[in-house]
Amino acid sequence: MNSVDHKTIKLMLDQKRYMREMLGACASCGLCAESCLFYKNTGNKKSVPSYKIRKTMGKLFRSGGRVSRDELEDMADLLWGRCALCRQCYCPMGIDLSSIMAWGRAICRSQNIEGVQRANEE
Amino acid sequence: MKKTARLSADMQITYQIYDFLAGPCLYITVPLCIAGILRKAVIIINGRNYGLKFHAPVTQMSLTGRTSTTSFRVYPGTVSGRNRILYSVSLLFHAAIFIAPVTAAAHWILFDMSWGVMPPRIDPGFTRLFTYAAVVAGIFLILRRTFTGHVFAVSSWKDYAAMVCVLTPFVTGILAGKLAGPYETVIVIHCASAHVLLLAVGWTRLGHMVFFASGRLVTLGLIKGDDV
Repeated sequence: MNSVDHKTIKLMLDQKRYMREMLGACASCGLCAESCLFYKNTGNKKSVPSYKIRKTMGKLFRSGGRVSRDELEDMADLLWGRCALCRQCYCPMGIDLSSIMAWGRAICRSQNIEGVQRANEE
Repeated sequence: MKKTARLSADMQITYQIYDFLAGPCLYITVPLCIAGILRKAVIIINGRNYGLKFHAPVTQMSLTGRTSTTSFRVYPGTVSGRNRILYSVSLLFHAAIFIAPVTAAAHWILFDMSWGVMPPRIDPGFTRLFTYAAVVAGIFLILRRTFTGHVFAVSSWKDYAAMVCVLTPFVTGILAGKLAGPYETVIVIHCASAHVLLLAVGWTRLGHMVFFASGRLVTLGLIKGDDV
């Protein structure tokens, strides 16, 4: 069960195509960092919400869903290990960061990947 | 003699490029810019049918409880209550990049030559003020991006390219207004970079203004959003 069903991932990405536009609207202003409890507590750049959505859903959209299992596990570490889906992340553009991350989790789950895969380094 | 003839030919090409950029090229880039913005608007409207929501938290929760400032109450959930310096500079920057080109007398002279419409005269000092403001605020935003750790972490070359794309027409506009440097070359770069900017607004991340406006409408309660 180590293979990745790219077709399913592609289908799920197509379902939420507007998320790609929302990701493209990110001005990388970094304001979301100040509203993220994970970032405020750790100060780690990997906890900045815009970093998390770019390295997960952004990567999935860019590759059209063609990612390896290792890459999906890295994404799971960000999506579960650095996000509580508390919905407190603020974006001046109105990007719904947590719903994008929730869909990232759904994609990981569709590949039987759930929860943190590796321990955080900090 | 040969050198003079060569220069003259170069100038001719420069003027031809200028004539194209200051005239017919607008009929290509302006519709493309509008089409790009409309495309984003349609995606937002369609997206809303499939669950797209604008997330606009009204107040920020902290571990110690609900925090609220006057600014949060006045402008709930917006950048004004979160980072006032960035808010002020960003507001100035975005206002200036709209006001400066719209009020520039040189632009209206071209408009008058093409369409025979000339608005009431606006003091060039007013335009100059906003042009300088756009450049200074833009430099501030570049410095913030470079020297603020978490902003630098989420930045890529595209963010710097976007800023260069925005600032080039303003810097060249100042140079052209002061007749500094080779005027013909400066004005061609000015026109070309403005066309690139128009296209970028429609088709790249510079189109974040569409999302920003939609987000504000949600925050103000004019569109049903997803307030926390």
